[in-house]
Amino acid sequence: MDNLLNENLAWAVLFGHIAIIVAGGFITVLSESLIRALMGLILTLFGVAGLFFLMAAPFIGLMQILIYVGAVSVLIFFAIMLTNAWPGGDEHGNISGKKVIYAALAAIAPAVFLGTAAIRTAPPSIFTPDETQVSELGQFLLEPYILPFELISLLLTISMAGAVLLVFERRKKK
Amino acid sequence: MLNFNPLLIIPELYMVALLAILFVQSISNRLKDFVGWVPLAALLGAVLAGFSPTSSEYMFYESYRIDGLSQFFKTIIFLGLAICAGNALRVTTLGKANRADYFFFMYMSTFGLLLLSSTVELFTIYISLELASFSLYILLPFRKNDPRAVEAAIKYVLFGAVATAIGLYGISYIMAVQHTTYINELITMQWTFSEQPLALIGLVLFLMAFLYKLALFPFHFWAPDVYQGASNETAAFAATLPKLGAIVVMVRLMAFAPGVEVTTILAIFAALSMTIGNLVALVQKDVKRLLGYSSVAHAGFIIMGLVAGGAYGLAAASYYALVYMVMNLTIFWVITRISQDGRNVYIADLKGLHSSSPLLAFVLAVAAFALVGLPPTAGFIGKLFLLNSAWEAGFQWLVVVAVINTALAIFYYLNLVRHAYTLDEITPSKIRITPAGASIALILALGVLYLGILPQNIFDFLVHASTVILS
Repeated sequence: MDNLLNENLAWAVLFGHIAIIVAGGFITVLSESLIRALMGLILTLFGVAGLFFLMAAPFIGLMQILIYVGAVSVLIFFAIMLTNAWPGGDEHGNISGKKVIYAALAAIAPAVFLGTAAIRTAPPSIFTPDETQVSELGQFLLEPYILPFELISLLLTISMAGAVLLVFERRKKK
Repeated sequence: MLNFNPLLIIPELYMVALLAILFVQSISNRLKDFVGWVPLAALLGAVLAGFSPTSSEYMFYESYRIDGLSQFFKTIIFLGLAICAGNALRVTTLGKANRADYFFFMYMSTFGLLLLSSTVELFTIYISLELASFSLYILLPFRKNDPRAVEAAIKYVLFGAVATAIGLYGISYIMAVQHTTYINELITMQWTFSEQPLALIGLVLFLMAFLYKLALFPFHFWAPDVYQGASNETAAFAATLPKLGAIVVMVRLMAFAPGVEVTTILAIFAALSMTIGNLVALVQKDVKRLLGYSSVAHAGFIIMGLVAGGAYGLAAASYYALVYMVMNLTIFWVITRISQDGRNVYIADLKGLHSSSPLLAFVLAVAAFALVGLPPTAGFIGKLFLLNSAWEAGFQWLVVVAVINTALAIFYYLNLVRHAYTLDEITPSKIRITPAGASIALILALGVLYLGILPQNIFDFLVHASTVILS
């Protein structure tokens, strides 16, 4: 009885989070104001963090909140503030109904295809997730995956240096 | 095992040293224009890579592999870089950006490609690809007073981001089913739709990131815009080297011998890619845009070797990678010489080239013959290997499509030669060309002929290298 209750609770939490994620996604793409869109994104990111907690990965969930909700969103806030973007930009305007239908089809087609493939042929999975120690994660990153782990830092350096270079190039022209 | 042996990765370490020097130069005001040494340094890198040992060795917990294939690709990447850097020394459209920055990002992109040719773990491949792409994204918009360059760069970045995201999503499928991302373990597993459908879907999604880099239909739309929008010198780099990185990864992935579903889909894409690329190229006026569509067609040819698979097919694809690079660098070298002030070259600009510069006209003719695939050039023998491998693997219909396409391609490539040789310009302009520029053009043309006449040594080496990765 207790078990059944737990399972139902888990399903409720799962679909609750999925609802939050989907709602956040719709707010992000549909809202006119960029700030409101960002709020939708933050809602989505919180929902994803919740899913990590549900899968017994509290460390990843916390990182999700810390990095995405905390750092990345603030960064996007700054970007919106500095670029002085307003709602009536180039893309603002009426979109024809045909375009909406095509866009929806294009978005749904891969989801339906991959979703059916995943549901019909998924390998057996475990219903009670194992909790992984943070120390194991660290060892995992610094032993078998040391090369990509180190390369990511190079990648970040390059992106930052490149962004600075391109921005200063534009500034000089003005 | 970490198994860190610096002697095995001398070319990569050498590249890191070059990057360090360029980095110092780019932040110093006095040294930033002192970049004449850059192409020679890349040439030395080719020598280092060419003479490095090619026995199969693993490093970094088996995520990095030194073998014949990797060393071959490292050598030709360094060679191509030397030509591209030599070309870019005289780039006139940089604007105020400093040259050391430009070369820093060009070399960083190449560093990513060097890593791509050796990495044998999916996440490392993904990150190396991003390293190569990000640096290239930064190079593309450097074209003074030309909004087309920025437009091309933005298209390339946005679609590239989606393509790599799809690739990353593909890794998640592979991981979920096969529980590993190491190629030496993945190669022992089943890759058929009946056994492991989800893994196969994941592999296809992962391949898409590389098909995008290769500009295969239906991921080709960026190529003409990027070629046309970027500076001639940047386009020469963007058109050749990143494709080598994509090809070497695809050679390693197709060594899994994936199920007939994947090879059939790829073969259909290859056929469409050739046909659409060639048909659209027929009506182009801008030479670089024409080359963009021709590269779409060539991507189809390379895929032919990959779908054929086996040591012979993979070797044919690798050989064609070298041929493709040399042919394109040759024709781009001519274009950059003709365009003295860095603007785009139109077909009409080639008129009377035989009188204003007989040497460039000859080199252009060699490159165009090679791109068509006429003997005795490299293009002919490269295509012959590919057609052979596809025929033996049972893709006869694809061979027929490929041959029809070669016939189609004759028209627009030889149209370039026709303009250069038979049409006279009303006011002939003199093309200023330095002795160094002339001799490199000649060396490239001789290279195209050499690869066409004496392919056997390199091809045998590649067949051996492919046998090693298949086992």
